[in-house]
Amino acid sequence: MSSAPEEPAAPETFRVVRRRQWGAWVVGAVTLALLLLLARAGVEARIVNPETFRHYLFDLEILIGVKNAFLIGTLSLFIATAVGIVVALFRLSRNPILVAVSAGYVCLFRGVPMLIQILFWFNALPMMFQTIRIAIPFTGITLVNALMVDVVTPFRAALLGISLAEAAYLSEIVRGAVASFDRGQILAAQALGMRGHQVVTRVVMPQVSRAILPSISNEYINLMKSTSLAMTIGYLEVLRVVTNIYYTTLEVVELLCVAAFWYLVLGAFATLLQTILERLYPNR
Amino acid sequence: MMDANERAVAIEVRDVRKRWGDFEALKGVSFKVYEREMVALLGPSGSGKSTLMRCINHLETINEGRIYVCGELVGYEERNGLLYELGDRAVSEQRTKVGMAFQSFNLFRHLTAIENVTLALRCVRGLDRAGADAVARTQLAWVGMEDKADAYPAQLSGGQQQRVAIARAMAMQPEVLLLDEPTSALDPELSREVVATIRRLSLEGQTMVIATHDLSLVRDYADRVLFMVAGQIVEDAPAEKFFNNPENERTVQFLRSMAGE
Repeated sequence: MSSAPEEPAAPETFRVVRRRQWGAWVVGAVTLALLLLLARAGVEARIVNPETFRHYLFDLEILIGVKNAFLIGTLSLFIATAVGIVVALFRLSRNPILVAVSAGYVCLFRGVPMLIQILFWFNALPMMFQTIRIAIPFTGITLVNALMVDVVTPFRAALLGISLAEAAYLSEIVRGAVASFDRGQILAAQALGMRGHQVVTRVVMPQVSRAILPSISNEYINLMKSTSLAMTIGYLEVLRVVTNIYYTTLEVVELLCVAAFWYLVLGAFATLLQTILERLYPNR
Repeated sequence: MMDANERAVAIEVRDVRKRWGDFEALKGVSFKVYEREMVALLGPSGSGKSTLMRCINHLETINEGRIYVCGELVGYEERNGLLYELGDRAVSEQRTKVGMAFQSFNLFRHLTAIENVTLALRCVRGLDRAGADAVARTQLAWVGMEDKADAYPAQLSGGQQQRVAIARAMAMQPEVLLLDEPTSALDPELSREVVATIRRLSLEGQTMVIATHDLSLVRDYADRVLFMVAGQIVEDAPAEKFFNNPENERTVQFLRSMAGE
């Protein structure tokens, strides 16, 4: 073209307008309205008397129940982890007997409701063994010699039942994490001349335990709540204490709310612990 | 151990067979690697290079044959005409003589670069923290990674990870070093820094076996080439002869196909 050199056109800029998601706003509004209706129904029916709620929130018996729930929830996490690791190692071994035992364990303890397991241990153990005697062989020293009925307290039966059931879940978590562990790192460690146990403790375990931390925290929260099942064998955890009270006072909803509050606190504690541990050991 | 040629033998592989079910990965492999020699292991993918490398430090069991490193039978002991597999302790002891680096680096992800190097120094060699740190720093400096000593593997490039992996292996002062496709996972630029490290190792006379697809690396630095096809070594020749005057038809085909790319 013969015309004078053109001015370079200034680059046009456009503002980008995102698509509005009208459908989501409608669903949101409807959901909010329904929630408000539900809350109004609760308030109008005066299902919770704030005075009663506050009165029982720090009731000594209930606080003891909270302590007991925390105790069983926490102890059973440790026992279940220990048993779960053993069951997972059985499953990962190349021995057919150990593999079968482990698979059978998981099938049984994961398949039967935890409530049945707790009731079973509480009732069946004293029938299976009348007395229990633990002695150090060849010394004549007897550590324990007692009637099984006295040994199987609600606390111990609940701890046993919850731990053994939970171990089945934990063994699967551990097995999954170990099975998906980077085999290359194991080869590298072996190639450096590290012994089998060193490979496990120095290379595999540190990384596997970090990988299962979120799952374990999940299980910890579950365990705190599962302690409520122990009420059926007369263990004085939160729910049992609360029911004992409302059988006489009939303040059912208030007391259930108190129990729910404390389970939320226990769950929040577990979540806090998880957050702290995840900060302390960041993912690499 | 000296052989008929009066040269010190670092690795001797004799009639080694390896099977997985019906699949025979190694079909009677024999060769020697002499001290201070750099031997390249070439061959198409799936020809058994990695398997063979792993057999040399008993990361993989064998079905038949023998492997000697510095005159010592690897992974087995002979009794009544049979080979019995050694226990964990004895095998681990033997593996300290053989360093290894892998295609995927395999650094310990939860440890920093320097901790990757010190781990085996401390728990295998029994060095204390200060001693292990000193060795590791020297080794990391040697591969040009001293300023990244406190970085985690995830913070390093592939080439940097591989150099740390080589430092980790070399810190144990192995008699022989096995490099299993050390540059295959790297782009040309990153692979150059690893090749520079390998070159320095060969200049220092480190006995090495390197499985690779990088022909220029082989042409420039390898003393001898073993060419593997389908679990067998079909050509064992000095590097110069391998490239200019190969004997086996498969080698000719292979070189032609690589040149065509």
